[in-house]
Amino acid sequence: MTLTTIVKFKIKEYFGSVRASRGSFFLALSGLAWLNAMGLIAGFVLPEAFLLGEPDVLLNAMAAFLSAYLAVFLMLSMRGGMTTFQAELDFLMTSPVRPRVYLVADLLFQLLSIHVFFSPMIPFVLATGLRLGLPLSSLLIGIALYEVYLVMGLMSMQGLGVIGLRWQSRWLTLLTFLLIGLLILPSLGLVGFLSVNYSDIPLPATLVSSQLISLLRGVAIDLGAFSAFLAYPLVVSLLYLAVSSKNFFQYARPTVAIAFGEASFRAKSLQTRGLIKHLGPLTKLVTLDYRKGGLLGFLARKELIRVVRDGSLLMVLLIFAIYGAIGLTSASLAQQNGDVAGGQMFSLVVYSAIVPTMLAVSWSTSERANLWIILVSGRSLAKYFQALFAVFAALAVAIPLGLLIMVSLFAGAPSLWLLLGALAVSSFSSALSIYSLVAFSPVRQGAFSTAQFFTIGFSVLGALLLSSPFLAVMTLENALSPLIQLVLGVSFLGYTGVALYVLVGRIQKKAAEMEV
Amino acid sequence: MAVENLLLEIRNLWKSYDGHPAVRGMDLEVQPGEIFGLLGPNGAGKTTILKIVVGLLKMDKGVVRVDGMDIEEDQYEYKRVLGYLPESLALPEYLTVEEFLGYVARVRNVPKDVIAQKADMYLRMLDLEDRKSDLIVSLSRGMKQKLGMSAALIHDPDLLLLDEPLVGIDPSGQHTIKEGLREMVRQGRSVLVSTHMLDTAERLCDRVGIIHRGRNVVAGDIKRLRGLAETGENSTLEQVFLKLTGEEEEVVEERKRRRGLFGWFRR
Repeated sequence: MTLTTIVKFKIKEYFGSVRASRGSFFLALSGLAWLNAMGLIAGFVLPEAFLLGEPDVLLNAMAAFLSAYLAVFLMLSMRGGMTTFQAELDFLMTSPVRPRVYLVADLLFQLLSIHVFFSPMIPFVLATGLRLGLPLSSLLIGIALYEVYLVMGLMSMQGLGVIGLRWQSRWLTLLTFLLIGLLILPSLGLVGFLSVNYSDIPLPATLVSSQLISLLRGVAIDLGAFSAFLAYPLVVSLLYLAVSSKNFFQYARPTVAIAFGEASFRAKSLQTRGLIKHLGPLTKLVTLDYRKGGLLGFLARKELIRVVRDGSLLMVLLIFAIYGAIGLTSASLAQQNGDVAGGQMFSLVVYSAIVPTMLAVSWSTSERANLWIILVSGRSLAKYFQALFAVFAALAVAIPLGLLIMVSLFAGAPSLWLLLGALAVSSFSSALSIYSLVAFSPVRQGAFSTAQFFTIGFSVLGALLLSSPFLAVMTLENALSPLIQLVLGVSFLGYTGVALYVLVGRIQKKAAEMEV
Repeated sequence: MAVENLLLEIRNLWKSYDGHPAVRGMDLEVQPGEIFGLLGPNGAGKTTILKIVVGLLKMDKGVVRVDGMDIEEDQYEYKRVLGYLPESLALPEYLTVEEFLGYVARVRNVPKDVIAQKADMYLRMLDLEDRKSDLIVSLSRGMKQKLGMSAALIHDPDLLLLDEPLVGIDPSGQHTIKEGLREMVRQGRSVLVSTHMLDTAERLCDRVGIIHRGRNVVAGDIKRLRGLAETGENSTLEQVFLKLTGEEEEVVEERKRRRGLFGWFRR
């Protein structure tokens, strides 16, 4: 009874806010449906050659994927390994509930969460099974093996988490890092940087992958490898049994800052506060000198310092790394095919539009509440939003430019139209992001609220639409004479200037009507 | 018609949220050189009134004049004379204490050459001098409240609007703030304090206004209020407050109702 009560509470606390509005419920549901459809499609279209081709390639790829799972679990174990909410610390852990009951409830909750976030896995497996004509029993055994692997990972995470909380040993941290290294390093073998591969080491991921591949191929399971795999969950279960009887409630701390869906403003600010605490001292080398410059420049510098210290810039740069990798891969592929523009265009244009929206979402959850300082000072908010626009546009131009330079090293110098297109997309996206902040965003909103999704969708689509003349010429560049290109370039720049002037004017008008 | 010599004048103020009235025809006056306490139970409309005055919310109807200026006519100029400390204090926690005061001073148009001097003065007064270079995120709740107070004072306002200013501040900090407010008043400036800490209001305020469900109940000094409430010369502000807001009757009624409900079980 207590166990199910705790699980239900955790589900409501974490996912319950999705029900806050019809919009967020619909968004969550459609997101889930979309992901599952992708899983289903991937299961049908994944090349048969890959599934039934070179056995070692498939084994190593699957083992790398499953090892990454385990590595993430081990990393999370260093933060306690549990999803603990503040309300649980206040009310549940002060009640006579036994630690083991809480731990098992948390395990069930985390298992369920994984299935929500990685829900496409099941349709993917089903589609693959159907495509290869596997018997149902093989599919069920495969799914059961995957579940056992997940439970083992979660138990390791919680077990190590409790040990870490209770004894806080540096040796445990070192051991955890060593284990993570052991799980991740063989992935370098996949790209030829190491001579060791997953197939050479009897890691749990390797053992379970070999069983899954046998099932895929309709080959009998190797009982030796199967028993070796089961030894892992058995050892972990014994550890779990011993550790879960210890009282860790006194050492527990809240680990879930943001619930899924309509996360609370307070939760988001707690997370931002955590980031500032860790990043702030590192970034204090650049300070806000109130003696320097005019007000507009001063406000812009203050906003720049904010994005550096509260981690907004870090988040953007992380996405930059992902897009950088896509850009580099597509550039190297394009180079092989004698085509250069495709990868660059995709990365640059999409990323130019996304940068300001990410900054806008971060602003609305952490900085909007501080607008009162300007509002009560006797200053119009128009000046503040002008400064914000300048910072968004500068970053939205500078970061994709860095991406472009990086890709250009592999794919040759970019065309002028590519640069102009990216510049237009970043400027429009910056202006539209800020417009959506002043015109549509409610006073309080969550990290995944409808308003946030709207800000992203509105700004990205709007920016691409407004920049479409540039994008059109970008694709037709080779068919146009230099004179026509010059005429178009000048007129498009004029059009961009006028459109931005109108947008900034709308921002200023809306800013004057804002309430805090 | 504006009344001369009033720092704050509110006439027939109305405000509602999603059709639910929060302030219903409020009148209020704050004179130069006084500390005026705005008292009322939770949800009485105190914070809404303060937010309208400082321009964080728009009123539905009414007239608000600050130092004779109608806040609807020029929405910015009148704010020069105001200092404000909100109840739910949000601060840019990524700034250091010194950077934050510099930021507020710049947007408040304080001359650049006096910012450091003023910031030092208020930080010293509120025992925050040694935290000058620390990020706001590292301050305790009470320290943040003191920092908010310094920011509200940095431009030497004539009228200070404080929403629950002493919540979370230690006794010595409370004493310093009260002394600081008294000093301000001696210089001819005024303070409007919204609070439900009745003992603080009793000791700090020259006059108090009691509001209930968005309406004026009564305003005046404590002696006048005691007379109106007929609670006796030695009655506390709490007794006066409960009597005038009718909450005492509500409490008695509630007790009777409970006795009725549980009486059967007791028998």
